[in-house]
Amino acid sequence: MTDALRSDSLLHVDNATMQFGGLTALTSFCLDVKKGDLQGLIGPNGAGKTTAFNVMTGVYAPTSGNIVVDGQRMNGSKPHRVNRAGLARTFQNIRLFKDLTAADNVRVACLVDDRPPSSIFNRARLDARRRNGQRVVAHALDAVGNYLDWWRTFLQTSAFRRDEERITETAHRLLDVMGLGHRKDELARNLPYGEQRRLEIARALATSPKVLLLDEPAAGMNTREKAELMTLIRKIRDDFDLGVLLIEHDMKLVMGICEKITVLDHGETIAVGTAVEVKQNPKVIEAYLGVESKELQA
Amino acid sequence: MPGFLRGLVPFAIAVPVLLLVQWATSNAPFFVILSLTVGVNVALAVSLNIVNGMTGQFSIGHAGFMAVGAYIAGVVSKATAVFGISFLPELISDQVLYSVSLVVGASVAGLFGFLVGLPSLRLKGDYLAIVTLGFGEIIRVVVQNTEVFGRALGLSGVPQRTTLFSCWFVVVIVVVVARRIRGSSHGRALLAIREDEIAAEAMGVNTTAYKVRAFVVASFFAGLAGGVFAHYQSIVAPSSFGFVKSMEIVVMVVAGGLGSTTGAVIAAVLLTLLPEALRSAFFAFTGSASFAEKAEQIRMPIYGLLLVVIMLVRPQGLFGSRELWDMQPFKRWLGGGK
Amino acid sequence: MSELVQHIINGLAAGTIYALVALGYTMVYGVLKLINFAHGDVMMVGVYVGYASAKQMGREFSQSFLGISLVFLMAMCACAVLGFLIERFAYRPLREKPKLTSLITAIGMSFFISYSFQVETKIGDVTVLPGAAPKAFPEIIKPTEWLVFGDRDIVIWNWQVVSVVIAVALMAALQYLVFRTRFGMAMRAVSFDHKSAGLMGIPVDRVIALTFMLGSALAAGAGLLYALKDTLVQPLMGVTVGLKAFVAAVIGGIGHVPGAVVGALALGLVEEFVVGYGSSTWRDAVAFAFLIVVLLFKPEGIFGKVTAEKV
Repeated sequence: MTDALRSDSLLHVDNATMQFGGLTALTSFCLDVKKGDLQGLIGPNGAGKTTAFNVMTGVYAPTSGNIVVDGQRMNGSKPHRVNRAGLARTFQNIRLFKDLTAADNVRVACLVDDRPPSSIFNRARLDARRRNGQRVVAHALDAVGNYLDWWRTFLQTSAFRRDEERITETAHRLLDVMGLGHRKDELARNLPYGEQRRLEIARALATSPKVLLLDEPAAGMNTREKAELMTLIRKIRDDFDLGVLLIEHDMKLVMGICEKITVLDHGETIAVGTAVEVKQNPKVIEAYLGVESKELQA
Repeated sequence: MPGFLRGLVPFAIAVPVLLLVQWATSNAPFFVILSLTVGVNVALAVSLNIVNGMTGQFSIGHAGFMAVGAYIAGVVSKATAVFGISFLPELISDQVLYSVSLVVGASVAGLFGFLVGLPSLRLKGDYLAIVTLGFGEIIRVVVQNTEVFGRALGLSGVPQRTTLFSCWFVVVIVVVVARRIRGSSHGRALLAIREDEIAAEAMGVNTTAYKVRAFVVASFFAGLAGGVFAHYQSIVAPSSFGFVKSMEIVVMVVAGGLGSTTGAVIAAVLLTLLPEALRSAFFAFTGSASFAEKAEQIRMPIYGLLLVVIMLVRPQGLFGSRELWDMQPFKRWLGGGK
Repeated sequence: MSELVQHIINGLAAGTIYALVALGYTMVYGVLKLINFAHGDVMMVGVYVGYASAKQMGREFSQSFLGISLVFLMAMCACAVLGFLIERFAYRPLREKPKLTSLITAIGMSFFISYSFQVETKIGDVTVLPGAAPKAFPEIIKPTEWLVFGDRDIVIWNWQVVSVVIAVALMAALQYLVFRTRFGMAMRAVSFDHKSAGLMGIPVDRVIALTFMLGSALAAGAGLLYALKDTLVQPLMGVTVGLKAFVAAVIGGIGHVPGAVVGALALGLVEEFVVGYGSSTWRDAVAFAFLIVVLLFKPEGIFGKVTAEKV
């Protein structure tokens, strides 16, 4: 456990196991993501990759094991807490807010933060309280702070207006980064598939994450789009100072950009290493295609 | 000009306009009563829209919160009727005490909203609907069995303090607040919950807390509407707050378009005026009160049929999710979407 | 002690009636994932059809075995047809739309049916719609004490026995149908995944329609038993009984057939105890309070399965 609290580890999963009744979806899953990492999580269908994501982001509480995000232990925390701690994700089956505009999709993810550092409701101070074990107090203060936010909304104070401007500005900026600036007022459901995927990434980025989890970001894209996506992911990792973890089925993409790859099969980790190491690992080859794999050696 | 003073502009405009309308209609009591009925329904529809339309939680017991507001405000008013604030002229003192009773009633209603919102956290769709219906019914049964609230006959003798001005001022407050919620991060969070709760949660929205807050805000305003209602009806009877009333409000929100404040307002106005108009028309043409009564009875099955037809033909209602202020040319005048 | 036993007997007897209605809810929910709010009102229609038939037959004939059977048969057929029409024209077009749409439609349908029956309508000499005034249901089964213990300490009425026997028989028949016939298997397939069931060649539309008809027919039977118990019938009875049966189905775990029965019996007992030992004015609130308590602790119901949404 002390290992996990090394200051440079942004996401540390320590032997997480996930059981659903009689089915064990994930066994002793370990992972460590540091700032600037670009890691991959691969495995045949049903290997437990999305389950791993769900466990890390708090959708499921792990049956055993620890999830530590930016130094905070997050097992069993609700997804919105995990997100605030610094973990953002996209979904395998796109989950955009379909009837909202692209800009609004991103705005939702921008957190209201105009609480001055001196105020007892300031988010950083509340998080510090939580770390010190003052969870109940922090929760109560958070609730009161939120109700005060509502009042500022009703009265339309200057603080509120500044917040709105800042949120809109951030949203537009992120949309531009993802090449969606021209679509900001378009309803999310009207966007072409590739743009929807990019919008999901923009939305996740709006939560100011420290680690970005991408669940099959390239699914359904053609070769050119995938190449563009690879460049984009690298750029995001650099510009936003993040750690990135991707689930992907496209081997070329994964081998192309991931520096470290974890391979799952039936919930168990069968290999961890660089692209070259993993490609040649006999267990990995067997898990994917039985005996030989031309695909992996491509 | 500091932000919140600019925020008071709509009210600053509303005050003289409403005073003018009140003065102009002071000799037309029928019109005044009608406008009060319409006003209360508008407030109810707009407040329900916050939960059903914006947050996507289907609540069908809204009349229960109206009842809480009505009864509590009525009781407080009756209790303080003998008092007066010494340094104020009687009329103003009455109105002040009236406002206090409204706020107290609405606050208790908001508290009930919290209590109802709490179990709602774990429930979805149909279950939530039934639980909200259940709460509405439980409130009604409790009231019917409590001496203080006058049991089945209801609370009588509530001082009649509602004026056209005060009723519609409340309506203006509710509409403005609903609009401001919509154009804020809170509103966006509610909409996100409606669209995809899991994604909203993953993006940092505390869905649990927001759903409860939606209930609290909506029930507060329903309670406010109830208080206004109590102070012109003078008699607060449990039969006014049954499932039928809840359904009326639901029909208004659905017909207007789930999620649209403008839609809720327009639908509430139309659906309140139309039956009245029909009733008067029947009465005028046939001269018989019983036929007019028939029109009243037919109103209910027609509401039901209306819901079915709307769902089959135009499920998004009149306005869908859109608002008047987002459409040209209103965008310029009303400062679009803020 | 004997009072307790009497309450238990009454509660169980009422519970079996709720169970019949609850089964309809649970079956329809199983295949459509929709709570048919109008179910109780269909039951109400059946009761009035029974009322009309019994009145037409006249006192003597309606009390004969043949007469009673005919009354039941006519009510059940009428409801089956009504159920079919509702499903066909109000629910089927909305099957692929979001759940909320169907929910609103179901509520609207319920409102429409129950409140149109409140408006007394006559065409010439024939009363087409009964109106709001409660009417006495014809005594097609003359209430007689069937079994008496002690000095009338515990009384079991004949209609209670008939009620339970008919209810149990219908439930057994349903159980057989769902688990031992091909049609039942088709129903279960559709309830798991109606798209895949369709791809496997199961006539989904027909299965759903028949399920509706079956559930409605059961409700009609239940309604008649309820009318015999309560004697008075009025158009809004469908709403009250329907809601309580729905509560029972949810408590047992919606979609779970035996669960609906257990839930209904439990509700019947709780209601009887509250009314018997407490006060009858709280009767209507009991069901809801019971529901809320159960949902707070076990939202999926007693036998329900927790269905996790795939993220």
